[in-house]
Formats: sequence, structure tokens, C-alpha cells
Amino acid sequence: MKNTILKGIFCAALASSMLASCSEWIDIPVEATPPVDAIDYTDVASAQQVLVGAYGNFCGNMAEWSYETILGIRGDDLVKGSSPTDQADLTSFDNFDYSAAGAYWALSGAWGGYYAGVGYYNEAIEAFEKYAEAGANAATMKDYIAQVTVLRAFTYLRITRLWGEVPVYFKNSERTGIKRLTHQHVIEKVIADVESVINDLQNVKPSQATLPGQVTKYTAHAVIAKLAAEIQDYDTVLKHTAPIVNDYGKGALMADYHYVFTNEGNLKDEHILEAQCSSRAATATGWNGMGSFQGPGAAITAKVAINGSHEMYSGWSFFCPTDKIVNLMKARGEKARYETGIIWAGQDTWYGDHVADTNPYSDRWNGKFYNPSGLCYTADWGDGNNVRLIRYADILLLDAEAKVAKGQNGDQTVNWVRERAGLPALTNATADQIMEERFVELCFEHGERFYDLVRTGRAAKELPGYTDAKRFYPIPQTVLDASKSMAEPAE
Amino acid sequence: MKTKLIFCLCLLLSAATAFAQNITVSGTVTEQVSGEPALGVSIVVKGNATTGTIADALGNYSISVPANSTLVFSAIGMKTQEVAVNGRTSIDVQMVEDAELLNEIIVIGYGTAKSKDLTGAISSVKADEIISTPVSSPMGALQGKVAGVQILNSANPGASPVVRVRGVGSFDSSYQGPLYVVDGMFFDNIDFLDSSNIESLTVLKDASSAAIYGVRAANGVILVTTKNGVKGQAKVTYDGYYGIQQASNLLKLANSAEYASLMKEFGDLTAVELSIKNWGGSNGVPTTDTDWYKALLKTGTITSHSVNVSGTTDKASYVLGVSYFTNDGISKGDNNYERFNIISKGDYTPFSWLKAGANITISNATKKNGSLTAFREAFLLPSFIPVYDEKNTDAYPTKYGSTLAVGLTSGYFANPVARAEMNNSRNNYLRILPSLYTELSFIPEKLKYKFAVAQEYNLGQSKNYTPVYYVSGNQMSNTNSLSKQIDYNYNTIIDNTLTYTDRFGKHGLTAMLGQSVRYENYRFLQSSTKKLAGDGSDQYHYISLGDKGESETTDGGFSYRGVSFFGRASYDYDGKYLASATMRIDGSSKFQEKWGYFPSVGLGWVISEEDFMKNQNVFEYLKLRGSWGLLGNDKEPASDGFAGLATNYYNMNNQTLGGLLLENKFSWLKWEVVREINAGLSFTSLGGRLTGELDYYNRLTNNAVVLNTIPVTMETVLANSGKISNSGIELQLGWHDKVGELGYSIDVNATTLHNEVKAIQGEDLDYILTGSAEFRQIMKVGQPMNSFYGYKTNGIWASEAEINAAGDFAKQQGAQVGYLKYVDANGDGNFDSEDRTFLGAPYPKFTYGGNLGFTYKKWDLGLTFYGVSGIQVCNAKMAMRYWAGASMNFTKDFAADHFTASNTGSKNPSVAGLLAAANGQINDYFIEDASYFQLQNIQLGYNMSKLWNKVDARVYVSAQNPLTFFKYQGYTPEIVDPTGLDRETYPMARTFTLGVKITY
Repeated sequence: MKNTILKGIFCAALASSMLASCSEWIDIPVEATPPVDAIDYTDVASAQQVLVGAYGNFCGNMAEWSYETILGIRGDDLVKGSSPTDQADLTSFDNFDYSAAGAYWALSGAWGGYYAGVGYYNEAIEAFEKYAEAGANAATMKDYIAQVTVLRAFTYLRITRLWGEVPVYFKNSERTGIKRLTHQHVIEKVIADVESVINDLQNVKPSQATLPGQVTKYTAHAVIAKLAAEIQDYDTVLKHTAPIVNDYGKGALMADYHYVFTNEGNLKDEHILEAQCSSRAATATGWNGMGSFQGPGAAITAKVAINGSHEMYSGWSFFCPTDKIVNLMKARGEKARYETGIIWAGQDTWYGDHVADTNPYSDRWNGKFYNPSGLCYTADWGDGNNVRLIRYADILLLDAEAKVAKGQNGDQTVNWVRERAGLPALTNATADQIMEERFVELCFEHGERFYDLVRTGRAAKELPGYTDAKRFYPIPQTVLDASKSMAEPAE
Repeated sequence: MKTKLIFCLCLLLSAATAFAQNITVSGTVTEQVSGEPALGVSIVVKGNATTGTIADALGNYSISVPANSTLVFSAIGMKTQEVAVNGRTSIDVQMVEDAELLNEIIVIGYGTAKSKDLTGAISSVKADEIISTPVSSPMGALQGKVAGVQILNSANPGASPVVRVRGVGSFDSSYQGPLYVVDGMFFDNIDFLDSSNIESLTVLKDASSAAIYGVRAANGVILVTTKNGVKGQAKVTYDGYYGIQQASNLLKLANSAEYASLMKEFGDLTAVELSIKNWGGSNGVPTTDTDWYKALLKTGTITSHSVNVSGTTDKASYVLGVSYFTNDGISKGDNNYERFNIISKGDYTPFSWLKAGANITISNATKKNGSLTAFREAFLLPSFIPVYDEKNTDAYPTKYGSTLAVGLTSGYFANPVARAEMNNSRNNYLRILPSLYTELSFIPEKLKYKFAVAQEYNLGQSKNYTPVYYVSGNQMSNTNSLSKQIDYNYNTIIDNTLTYTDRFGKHGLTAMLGQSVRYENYRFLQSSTKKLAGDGSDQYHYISLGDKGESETTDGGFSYRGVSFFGRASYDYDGKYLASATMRIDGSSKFQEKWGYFPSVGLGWVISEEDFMKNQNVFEYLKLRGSWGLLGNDKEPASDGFAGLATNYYNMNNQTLGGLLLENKFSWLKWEVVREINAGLSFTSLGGRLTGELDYYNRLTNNAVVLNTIPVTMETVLANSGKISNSGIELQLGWHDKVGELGYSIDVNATTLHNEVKAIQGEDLDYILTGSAEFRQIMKVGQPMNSFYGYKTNGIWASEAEINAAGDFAKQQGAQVGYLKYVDANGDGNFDSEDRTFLGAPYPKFTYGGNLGFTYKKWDLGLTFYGVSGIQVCNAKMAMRYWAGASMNFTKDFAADHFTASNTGSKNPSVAGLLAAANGQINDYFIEDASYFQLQNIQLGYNMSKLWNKVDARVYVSAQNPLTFFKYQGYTPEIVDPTGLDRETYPMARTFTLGVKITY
């Protein structure tokens, strides 16, 4: 009897210990994906990796060609190109017919991509706070937080330029059920966010930063100025263009306009914010066909052999300059900006690469994403180049514009830009003259021309079919389908 | 019946002590047909199962028994015979093969059972039924043979067939297939096996049969038993066939004249005129008229050889097999599949209480994937470009025709032949499957313990090489590039089972207890480079020969562990009332909530055994079955249930820095559990000529793991947020008879499927969208999974007057004459996204199959057919015009009938209408019925026996897929894409083979 009881106890013990050890045996971490809480917040080197991770994501978004199509198509500086029915929706958008915009793949893709970026930046900022708590250098962590805050702000600028009334959140925990804000409130909230951290940034030009090209105080000023210009808050614009203009001076503009857009221009002071996609390093970060889609779609003969061959990848032939900008440049006697901005079929480029006249749909293409044969590393059109996001020339013209709007004289900064382009100085430049200067200086660059027209109220006059109701694309259908709160009115 | 039951469960018997008044009986048991000694025959005394012996290799036996007793002779596959001793000392017996299906031994999870004792829905297929079907994967040959099993085949050599058991219960398409258990090891597919390696395939469809594999049984279990040693002396079998393959059912596309006319209607002749300018033409019609499909296709070949040697001695049985299969595909360029398999298996019974065995299967396969993109491009590209163009002087190595020459700059267009021929993608798979077991009988015939270890080592190597080539500025590579990947899987399963079988009077009982441990590992190493030194030939395809600055390497992998405890009890009362119950407790490392509990119960009533049925002669056998159970599914990705770290990089000042991304999504995953109810009826009637099975099934997947969309960011995360139901009826009927010398058989099966989402929960929504923004699909309560979700149309806008009459509603959809007329589905008077609605689903509501067989003297003729209906497919390649542009080619049917001023009654819109803005989202014009009926196989064979006294042979000719009927506008209605999107599909093929089987 006693024996049986003992046996029973022994079996039960065996069974339970087996179960316990089995539970332990199957409690193993997932291979190749460390959990977020595995971060050692006392390891400052890993904080820099988190920072680089944010830049990597940012670069991928900013160099994504399909986002560029929807950013850039609506202005009067270029038309869609390629065969008329290839991505015909873009032509509809250019004519302010948004009936297909709700489902357009690149619009929903851009929304998802930009907000996924916001999610990463939010997470990175929270991580830096934890590093600081764990004893990492407080100033460095504040600098990191501020850098990522600026990347996030620039991302929100892109988002609100496209869709206007959008949700803004700085912590991922705020995301569920979030409401959209009006365009004005988006801009104000994002400016306040950057202003709260601007003094934590390095007080040097990006080219002189610890990691060259990273966000510094000047980048933050430039991003705020761009944001404030969206709502014509010229006081804020001036407050933030002034320190840049004062410290950069005239000399920060590259002397030869042609090379601003080649990889000779990478990390020059001309570029206040750029996505570094250069492929001189072993691996290129997300170039993603930014060049290919704007390539001429005709046989190209390289002046200088690339990897032993004179063939260049010719691209898909999108984004072709309009007669309006071509004629304007000709009438103004533009040389450098004309040669650089426009690539013609059947002619040599300013560098000497030859473009055959075989494309039946267009005879000209955007030259600002072209990297000449002697400078590129592969035959892919435009490969090996950084993507310019904010140029100093843009800030100079914005400064002039704000001054004029405030009843001051904006000649100095606008004339620096004109001088570099080989044009005579203006006296008492008017708002219209400055807008025209912006047109020829910044055409074909991420739709800057279109956003200039809409933010200054000139769009209805310049763009056939435009009304204020057409300033923003409709919220993508996928976004509306995935959340009820996105369909509610903005606050 | 009772004794039959006992004795058939007995495989081994030990001699027992004799009684004093015993006499010794001896004799020989032979097989009736061959006259050869019958092996493995057990001889026992009726009513005393412990007294018995087994005949030796020569069929001789000797046993000491009471003089007035009755001897029972039994063996697997033989009819059991009872012979009264009546004082005789010499009794010879001829064993007769048991053709009766009901006594068939069916392999069930961790054991075997007789088909008549089953309470669950189980279908078994013998390898003989599939071995002469010319397909690479054994599962492909099963198409249409088993009710409730849907199989989608592709003619692409070595392509894995899509297999679904009783509908689709899991969300992620890569986890919808059944579990394959090959000699105890778990697999996701059995493409690596040759049909000749297989003894039988058993499909466990319902809960009471599959629940014993609770861990991954949710989508059905297919038990694969590899070849066993045949009874008797060594036997050598050769099976082989050779055949040719040709594309069939090609969709007809517009020729250049039709195309030019359509583009003229559309008003864009730019490209047509360029074709005329470059390569000639007259009256606006280009001379060049390339049939891209024809240019891309060739005649394929298929070859199979297999040799098996097997036999049994008194203590051991063995199998040794080799097989070779090769299929050269119908696409140009590198496109073939080659497989060499070796199988070896031995079972040894040194003592009556000990049995042990080991087996090893080695499979080595090479697959060169054809380019599916080339087939899509062949569909999109108009005919007015030549395959080769001597004027394209820049082109190398071959002077292919260029799409840029006619100004087609869009990335959708490229020369398909160049695409196929410049494609060099090779995969090599080496799989080694060792397994061994030991079985101990503690109490003879009653208590057995089995220890089994099964392993899989799988080494995969893939290689992609792109040579330097130039077709146009849009289709070129001015450096060569190479990428290689090595995949390595090593999986182990260890099972311990204890089985007790006994009979107390009319009560029969089998109980099994088991424990199992699984360990799955996968690792990969991938590397790529560019600018390789050398001339590009295979010998120089090494990463180390590439540019160091262009080389990239990555790796990854997973490790999963599982542990399980399980048990099963089967009971019968007098062979009339059957009951079985199983319980399985599974732990998996994949989930946050690790443990799952999976019980099942099955009941059966053999009505034909009842006294009141004794006086009827309609049913020889009639059984009612029912079962209920829970089945688990841990086939989900493990890494999705928590916030993880990912890496990326960024170049700062041309220096690459490593970055870290913190995932901001999080979910908590637990077991997906399927509740399954099955009710069935099995019968044999009319003198055994008519057999049938009828089953009703109802499966409800609870906690279905679904990919949810996170609001705002549109990222996705897995969550247990769905309930999916699959229900239907399965019917299998057979009629086997012989009239004089003519034997004939008819077997048919049919399955209905009703797939429905029963519940779904998004973050703040009551539906979940799947698919893409353009090809939207939805999971919504009351509809099938992945239902197509878009606009309904109702004909074509025929006139301005009609458009004006429709007012704003027409304006909102951008209506123009010749455009599709979108319907106001929600009836609110407005055309907007709220008008999207259910357009169909990619799962067949009804599948059916069958075969007719005839034998006459030495001839046999077989015919199998298969069909599906009630299935929709999204013709995405047609809808692609919206993005590719008007220049895309048209079907011949469209060219002949589409909306024009003189043909306003057409069902097709005008050319411009195909490009209407609203077509950017899916609409029912592009959703097509993909029902089809296929004559799968016709086979005529001639049998010769006793050639040279020793050799049996069968010679046959067969046609596979000779005829297929469907209306779908595609190259096959069998769209292997799991969500039913036909973007790029390998064409359907028919195969003609000549084969032979020789047995020595």
C-alpha cells in the first residue's frame, strides 16, 4: 500500500518536472531578431546605430522614385513624359483631376512609407531618452533626439504638402484613434516641436558635423523656414533664414551651377539637407531608381566609358520640362540653369554624353537627376548621387521673399543666386520677380515650384484647372479603409 | 468478426505452452495465385490467441494444438481462414488475397487501423494509382482522386503543387497547406519524393483522425509511407516512361493588323508607325507580326525511370530503390527539373519481442526556373516588334528586337525571348532523411513500446547569374552579376509511444500514450556580387571572382522547438459500436502563449452488424460515423509577435555606417485552433460492387492568425483576430464489376466547399483588407476569405444621351461613351469608394473528379477527369493595361468585339474605356469565372505475365491533360497564386507518354 503511494508521488513528480523542464525547453528567443528590450542602454555606441538607422530610413523615403512622381507632377515646370498612357493617372493629377488619386499606388505607398518613418523616428527618440537615463552623455543624446526630430519634421512637411490635413504624433502610443489636424495646425505643431530642440544641435554646417551631412542647427533653421513659408508666417521664416544667411554668406553657393546636381556637389555647403545615396561606398542606400525614372528613354552614348562600356541605362522617360519653363529660361537668357536643367534629345549634354533622338514621346528631360559619365560609378542613370532636399539657394530666395513680404529689401540674397547663374543684379526686387527666380532656380526639384505657387496663392492664376480645393490630394483609400478616425474632419 | 479483429491486429505471436493432450500439426501455406510460399502467415488456435506460430520463409509451420481445435490462418492482405483440425497432423492451406477494401490496413497517426474500424474521415491512395502519371510531385498526381482535397498544378518543371484539404482555414497563403508526415518526419511538401518511393498516401481529413498530430493538423494531414518490403522472395520492379510536352489552350492575341486598327481607334499610332518605319509595312499595318508565345515556347520532354528491389525473409524485410526523373520545360531559356532519389529501408525482427528498422531517403534535385516575367511580357508586348533585329547593332550577345525602337519606354515592356534566354537561375536541393525505430513487445500482442527518431537534412543551393547583355537602354546589364544562397535545414522529431491492445469478451480496446519532441532549424547564407572576372561560364560563377566593392552578404534563420504529449483510446463493442478519443497537449516556442490543448472524439456504428440487418442483402456493410475535435496550427512566423530590432545602413560621407531600427509594432500570438465536426456514412452494397462514402464536414478556425493593418502607418502585424469557417459535403462512389472477360470500374468523387469569414477584428474595424490598393481583397463577415472587393459594372455607356441622363452619378465616374458603366452598389446616388462590393472569391465551390477503368483480357484502359466550378480569378494581367498604358497588346476576342460607334452592343468597352480612371481599382470586368473541366489522363495498357516464366510486364501509352475546357481568358485557369491573381502564369501543357512496368 505504502509502496503504491510512493510510486504515485514519484510519477507525479516526474510528470510535473518534465512539464516544467519542457516549458523551459521551448522558451527560446527568436533567431536573428533581437527584441527591442535587448538594447543595452548603457552602450552609447549602439545609440549612434539607432541614429544611423533613422537616417537610413529617411534616405530610403527621400530617394524613393514613386514618391517623387506624386510630389513633382502638379507644377507647371514639367509634364509626365513617357507614352501618354503609361501611368496616365499622373497626367490627371497634373490637370487636377483627382478621381483616381484615392487608389493610386504611389500615393498610398508614400503615405505608408512616410508614416512608417515617423514610427521609427518616434521609437528612436524614446530610445535616446532611455540611453540618457542609463547614463549616456546627456548632451549627445539631446543632439541625437534633435537630429531625428528634424528628420521627422521634414517628413511631416512632405506629408502635409501632399495631403494637407493629416495626423501628427510624436509618440507611437498616441497613434490609435488619433484625429487629423488642419494644415495650419500641422505646421504649427511641427515647428514648435523643432523649436523645442533646436538649441541641442551642433552649431556647425552639416558638412562640418561629426558625421558629415548630418542634421545641425542650420538644418533645423532651414526646415522651420520651409514649414513656416507653407503658412506664409514670414516672421518665423526670417527668424530662421537670418542665422543661415549670416553665417553662410555668399561663398557657400557652389560656383558652377552644373555641378550642384552631380556627385561633385555631394556634401557641399550648398546642400543644407541631403539624402546620401552615393554609391562610392560598397553599398548604395536606397537610390531606388530616382534617376532611372527620369532618364531619357533613348539610347545614350557615354563620353567616358563606364566599366569599359559606353552604354548607359537610359531610363523610363518620365518628367519632361514644359514649354513654359523652356521659353522662360530662353527669354531670360539663362545659360547655366538652362543647360543643367534640361537634357535634349539628339544633343550632347553639357558634359558631352550623347542622347539619341529616338524617343517618340518627348525631346527633353529633367537634367537635375543626371550624373555625367565621368562622375558616375555605374551605368544606371543618375546613380552615385545624393538627393538634394534643401538647397542654400532655396533658403536665400525664401529669405528675400520674406523680407519683401515684410516690406524690407530682399535684393542681397536674391542677387547672390542670380550672380551665380550669370545674371545681372536686380534692384528693389518684387515678390513676383523673386517667385520667377525661384521658378528657374528650383524647377524640377521635388515639386518646389508647385508648392511655391500654392502657398503664395498664385496657383489658380498659373495652373489651369487648379482651385484651392485641389491643393491637396485626397487621403488614400487604403488609409480610410484601415481606420475610421481618418475619415473624420480635421481639428 | 470478433476473431478476425483480434487476429488481424496481431502481427507477431510467440509460441505458448502446449496442453497435455495436444497433437502436433504441420503443413505448408502457399499463395493461391502464384503457388509460392505465403509469408508472414500466423496460425493460432481459435479462442486461445496465445497459442500460435508463424510460417517460415518456405511456408512451413508446425504447431502443437488440441486435436479438436480449429486453426486460424491469417496474414496481412490475405483472407483469414479457419480450418478444423479434426485429429489431422498435416494441413496445407492456400491463402487467398483479400480484395475487400474494408479490411485494408490504413496507416493512421502513430499506428495502423483497419478501414472498417475507423470513425474518422480518412482517404488512402496507393502508389500504384499515381506512379504512371507524368508529374514531378506525387501530390500533383493526386489531383481529382480524393474528395475534399484541392490541388493546383503548374506545368513549370519542378513547381510545387498547391494543396488544400477541405478549404482554406488559415490566412497566410504559405501556411494553408496540409502537414505531410513522411515516415514520422514533418514536411511542408513532398516534392522531393518520387511516386515510386511511396507505398501509400493517407489523407487525414477530420479531427478524430488528424488531432493526434494536433501541433500542425489544422489544415489536414497527409501521411506518406515509403515503400515497404514486399512479401515473398526478392522482387525487382522497373517503372518508366518517356514523353513529350506541349503548351495547350494558348490564348489568342491580336496580330499586328488588328493591333494597328485598335490603336487607330484609340488615336495613338506613334509606336505602330515606328514599327513600319523600322521594319516595313503597308497601309498602316506593320509587316512584323511576332507571336510572342510561339517565340517563347518549345516542345518539352519528360522522363522517369525507377527500379525497386524488395523482399522479405522470415526475420527481415528490405527495400532498395533508385529513381530518376527529369522534365525539360516548354519555355525557352534554362527551364528544367531533374531529380535523383535513393531509398533504402530495412526492418528486422530478431526476437519475437523486438523489432527494429532503419530507413534512409536521399533526394537530389536541380531546378532551373523558367522566367515567369517573360510570360507576362509575352502577353503585354504587341506583335509589331521582331524577336531578332539585325538593325539593333548595339545589341549583344544576340541581336534581339528592342522595345525602345518603337518608343515603348515603360518598364512593363521588354523582349520576352531575351528575358527568358538571359535568365539563369538554378536551384539545387539535397535532402537526406534518415529515420530509425525500435519496437519492444512487453506483453505479446498487447503491450508495445516504440521509440522512433526521424530527421531531415536539407541543403539547398541557389544561384542567379545575369550576363552582360544589351537589348535596349531599358533592357540591359552592362556588368554581369551573381547571387548565391545556401539554405540549410536540420530537423529532428523523437517519438515515444506505448500501445496497449486487448479484447475482453465483446469489448475491444486499443490505447496509446505518446510523447514527442521536435526541433526545427533553418539557416541561410546569401551573397551577391557584380563584375565577375572570367567569361561568364558556369566555372567562373564564384562570389570571390567579383568586385570586392560590390559584394554583399547576408544571412538569417530560425529555430523552433516543440514538445507534445498525446494519447488515443479506441474501443469497440462486438465490432458494432466504435469509439475513439484522442488528446494532444502541445507546446511551441513560436507563441507568446505557448501551450495548446487539442482533444477529439469519434464515434461509429456499424449498422450492418446489427441483428436486424442480418436478413437484408442490400448492404454488406454500412457504418455511420461522427467526430468532433480541436486541431492546432503553429505554422506561423515566430518573429512577428514582438517588437524587434532590424538593421539597415546609411552612407555618411561615402562611409557606410550600420544602423538599427526599432520596430514599433507588437502583437501577442497564441495557437490558431480549428474546431472540426464530421459526420459520415460508409457502405458496401450489391455484392461488394458498389462502395461509397459520404461525409459532411464543418471546420471553424478560431483565433485565426491574420495580418492586421495598423491605422495611419499602414504597416501590418499578425494577430489572432479571425474566425474562418469551411464546410461542405464530400462524396466518393465506386462501382467495380466484371462482365465476362470485361472488367470495368467507375469511381467518382465530389466536394462542395463553403468558405466564410465568421468574425474578424481589425484595430478599430470589423473587416480586414488584403491584397493591394489596386487589386483589393477583403475579409469580411459573411463572405469568403480574400473576396475580391471592387466596383460592379453593368455594360457600357452607349451614348452621350445616356451619360447626360445619369447626371452627376456619371460625372463622378468620369463616364464617356464606350466606358464601363459603374453601378451604384450602395444605392446612395453617388459614385464613390462606398460602392465597392463583393465580386467573387478565388476558392471553388464545387470540385469533382473521377475515373473510368476497363480491363479486357490483357488490355486495360483508364480515363480520369477533374473539374472545378464556382471559382473566380482576377485577370490581373489584363487589368495591367491601366498602368502599362494603351500600347499593351489585346486579345483576339477583344479585337473582334469591343465597343465602337458601329458596335454599341459589345460587352467590352472601347480601347480608351479600358484606361478609364476608375479602372485603377479592381472591377468585375476583370474578375472572371475560372471554372474548368479537364480530361486529365487517358491511358491504354497491355499486360503480359509469366514472360520467360518470371517476368510480368505492362506497356502503356498515356495522354496527360489532353483536353481542358474553360472560358477564362488566360493560359490556364489553374492559377497557383494563392489569392487568385493572374499576373504572370506558366502556360498549361499536355503530355504524351509511353511507359512500361516490368516485375521480376
